Amino acid sequence: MSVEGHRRRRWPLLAGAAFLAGLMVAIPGYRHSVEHVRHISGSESASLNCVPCHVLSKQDGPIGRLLNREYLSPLDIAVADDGSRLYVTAEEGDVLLAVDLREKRVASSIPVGRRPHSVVLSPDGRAAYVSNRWSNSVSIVDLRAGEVTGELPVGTGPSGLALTPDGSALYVANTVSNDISLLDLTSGRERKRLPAGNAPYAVSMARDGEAVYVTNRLSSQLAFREPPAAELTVVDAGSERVGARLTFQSAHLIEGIDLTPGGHWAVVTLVRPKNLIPATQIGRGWMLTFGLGIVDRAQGGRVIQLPLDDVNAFYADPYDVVVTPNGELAFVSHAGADVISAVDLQAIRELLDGLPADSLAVYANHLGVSDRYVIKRIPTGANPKGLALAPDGRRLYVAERLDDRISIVDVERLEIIDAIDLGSGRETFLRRGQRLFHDAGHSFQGQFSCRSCHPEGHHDALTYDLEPDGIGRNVVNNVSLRGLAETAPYKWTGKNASLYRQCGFRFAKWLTRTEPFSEDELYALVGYILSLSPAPGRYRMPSGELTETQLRGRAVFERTVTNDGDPIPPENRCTTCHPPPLFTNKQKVDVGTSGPTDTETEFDTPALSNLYDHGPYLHDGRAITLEEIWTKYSPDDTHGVANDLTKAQLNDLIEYLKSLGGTDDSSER
Amino acid sequence: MRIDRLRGRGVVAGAVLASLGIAGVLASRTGARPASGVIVFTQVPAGVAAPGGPDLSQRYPTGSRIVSYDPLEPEVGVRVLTEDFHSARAPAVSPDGSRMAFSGQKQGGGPWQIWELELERGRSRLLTPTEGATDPAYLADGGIVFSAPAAHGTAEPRHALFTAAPDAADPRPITFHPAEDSSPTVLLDGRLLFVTRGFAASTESRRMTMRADGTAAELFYENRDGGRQTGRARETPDDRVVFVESSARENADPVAPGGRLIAVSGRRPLHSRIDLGSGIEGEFHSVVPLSSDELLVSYRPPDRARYGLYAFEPLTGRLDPLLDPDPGYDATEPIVAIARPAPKRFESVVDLQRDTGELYCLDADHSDLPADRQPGSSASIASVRILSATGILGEVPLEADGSFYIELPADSPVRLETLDGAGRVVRGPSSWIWVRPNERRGCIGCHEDRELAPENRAPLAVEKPPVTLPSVASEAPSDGTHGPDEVGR
Repeated sequence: MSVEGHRRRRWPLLAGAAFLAGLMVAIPGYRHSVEHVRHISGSESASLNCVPCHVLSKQDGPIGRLLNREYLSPLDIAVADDGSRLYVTAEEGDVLLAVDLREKRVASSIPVGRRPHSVVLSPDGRAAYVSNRWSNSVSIVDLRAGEVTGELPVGTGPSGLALTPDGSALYVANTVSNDISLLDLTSGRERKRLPAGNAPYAVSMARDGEAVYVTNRLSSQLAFREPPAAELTVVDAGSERVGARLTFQSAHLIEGIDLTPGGHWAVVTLVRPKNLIPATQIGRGWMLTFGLGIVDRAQGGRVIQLPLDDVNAFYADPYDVVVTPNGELAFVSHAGADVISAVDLQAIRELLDGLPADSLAVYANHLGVSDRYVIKRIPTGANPKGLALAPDGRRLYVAERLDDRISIVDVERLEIIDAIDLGSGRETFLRRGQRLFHDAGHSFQGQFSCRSCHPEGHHDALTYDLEPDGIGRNVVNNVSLRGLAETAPYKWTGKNASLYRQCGFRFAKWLTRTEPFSEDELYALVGYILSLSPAPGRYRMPSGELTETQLRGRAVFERTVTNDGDPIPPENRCTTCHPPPLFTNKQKVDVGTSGPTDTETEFDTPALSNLYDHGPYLHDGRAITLEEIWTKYSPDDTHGVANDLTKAQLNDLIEYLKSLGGTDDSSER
Repeated sequence: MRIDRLRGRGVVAGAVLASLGIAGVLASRTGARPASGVIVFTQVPAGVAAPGGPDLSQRYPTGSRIVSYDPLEPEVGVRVLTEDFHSARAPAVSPDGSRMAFSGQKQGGGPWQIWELELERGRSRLLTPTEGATDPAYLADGGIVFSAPAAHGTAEPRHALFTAAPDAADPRPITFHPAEDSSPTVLLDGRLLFVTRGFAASTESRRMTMRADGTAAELFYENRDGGRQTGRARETPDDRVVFVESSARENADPVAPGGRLIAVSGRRPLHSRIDLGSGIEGEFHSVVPLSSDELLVSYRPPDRARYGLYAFEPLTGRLDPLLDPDPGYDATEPIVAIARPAPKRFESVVDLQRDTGELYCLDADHSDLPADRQPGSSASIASVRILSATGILGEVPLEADGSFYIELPADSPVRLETLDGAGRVVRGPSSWIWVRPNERRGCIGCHEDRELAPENRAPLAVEKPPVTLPSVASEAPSDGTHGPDEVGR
């Protein structure tokens, strides 16, 4: 046989061998992929689709950059005095938009700081002030020139703004540093810093200029398993001091605020969580209810709470409220329900007239009472947030945040009559996830969105008694969703290998109590959650270097011997379970914190990032402060060796811990 | 009959439903096959009581049949869809509009069972062999719910609700109380809405909702003035629920099924009742929405002997006959054979490997009744007694905050009554309730306002394991001073 013949004969053999080799790689590879998907999803029926996790979720990859796009996400609106223009903060566009109402288009787009939040206009209409949440500043915008002319530093996470009637001073709610900046606009300096409640958010000034009202989103510090109570901070504008701290019992996430024209009422939006009750049902307000709070100044600051929900329909995530110039109506944006509630304030006055205090307590929980004062539910686009009324009160403008659109409501007809597209464009994979995250339509009767317990992807500082592991036991501390991407497994028990599993059918079974997310929805939702980055670290110096205190704290964190020189066993050192860069070993560990109602003793080691903004602490939220982790809940040095530390050393350690994590480029949405 | 106008109405109604994202059924227009958006209804022969009344025989009207009528082809008249059956009634169309489940009796004297007809092909098949089964409705997962006789601690069989999986195998009961359950409708949010009627007093009927696995059963609507609920309720596109309600006062004939046409808001059903037919004489029998503004009703004018089908505009009170009434039949139970949005399905918490469920109460002393209507309200409640259909399951002391937490046999009816420190009954017994295996139910308190959300407070009782019932030395027979008054008769 010729060589050529041998070659011809060998060719099929080689091809066959190559085919078999290919199969040997492909079949295990396929099996591995199937197993991987099943493991990650927790579902035997999940389809084998690599693209959502490995391509679409990767914002920074070349394909991810190609597929994703930037959105504006309008958040807050101010209306020019002549009613000709709107000024809109674009939260994700880092710009202030000037919208021409006659031409119904964006007239100009003015770059401001990062994550612009609120906007107010000077009395003469020439300037706008914009709070920049992640630049920790207020931008001064010359509206004629269409450019920023100054940037005033304030506290951390500035959100709501209110100008004094003469326009000489500006109150700024600093959400992260829990205080209120009073800016002197003449000198351009911060005149005062006033202590607020927990996470101050919106600000409104009485029209007589006598008082400033500041809402606080989170509950003031709680004893373990006590109902939340959020504060409305009242600043005496004359003395420029805090004049009163009013409390909304059993409520939190107080975000929007407006005052009635005579100033008799301060009207706020609020959420009433039922986190202390076992989460066995969500119908009839057993998980959350949403409503209005009223401070009746005419009656000595009486605090009133009224629901905006119906018995079988819920209107999640009330965000902003505006009162018409005649004081007859209030409009509330429900960001999770895509609805504006029109509220008859006169009907509320009649309802409250002569009502005894015990009836007020019942009304706060009575879902039938809203029938008396909610006169219309106006459907909107996705995620309605900021509201503003035209000066004559005839038009209501609605920032449809996740549609990049402003809707215009006819106040007399109570219906949307027009809309201004700010540049919405196509829906990307992550934008879809973002919409799902904020949409309460994926719970049984609209009871809550993901955002309801994770505002801005963060946490609500509450603990919950969830059903699957038995009621009255295994209380869990709600955690932030920021920066989760590399920190699997999830849940305090570490039982979920992925967020796909965490948010899958069991989530529908035990929490939303309705149809689970479809596979495509789940991919998009998880992709969005994984895209949430930690906020910029408040305790980090701009240079990135540690302070002296933090350096001393780092030494404590990394130490291997006690103050007495005794060696610390490796398993009892901070760095063993909390190694950089995420400061978690992603393992379950028993640190002696299991309580009498816990069925587990080991808990997933949390990553350490922006800890100052994550309280309460430990798996069940029993530690109100970082200090308590060691001073109260590790008496036997089971949670790292710390009993030998001096008070000063513990302070150093905590200062160091607060500096960990965070990012310079928050993509919080 | 004003055919021309109704033809237009058919188009408008079809357009309204299509605008809800509904695709019409592509069905043959020959033979006995319904076309897109045709009307399907039950014809009950004259002399046979129409379905819907409290009498059991009314669930199985001999000689009844299911027919279709196409408003766009009025010249064709009605077409019989169940020619192969001796009797048939209670049609329900699948969400995709392709199939019709119904209760049928193949031969005279034979059992009534649930059948399914392929609307396009006209072929029928037995869905479930359960005898006496009626009132089928399609579930979100493709299975069905229906009403059929059951005996749960009662001497006489009663009608409970059952569900069967999409393959129709192994129907299981999902209601477990001594009452007659019938006329289920599957709401868009996935809940079942059905009529339940107490044994002793035939006029005491309510509409209840629950999940399709039998969990979370609760009152949806009742008329405390004695309104008797008849037939299925239906959802309208604008989130109302419409149904027929009668009262003994209104009906000289105690078994007459007809009555007033009522609408309630789905958002607040207990306090939003509107008589849509106010001022209209005659009786309504059954209803199905065509749009937010128009209903298709089975209606009998005061001067007519038989029910006919009418298009009804509640806003104007206008009633227009859909087709010439057949003097030999009552036209009842209309539906529209068209695709519609599927109800939401949900993941069930029921675990059939378990035989117990749990019940906890936040404060047994809580009552929404006015002080003068609270029997023994001045007494301090010390414990709660749990009654089964046959006796006492046990007594559980209340925690300091009034809470209690019990584990009790699943799928068994219980009632609760509160006791003072001397063991005297303060309030109760309550209505019958049950828990499904692995279900955990919570309540605010006895006589809680059904529109009240709970106060955010951790109940002390759940800090400990539940008290398991029946407890030792319980199961004693009822002493006659309390307990079930509708059981075992």
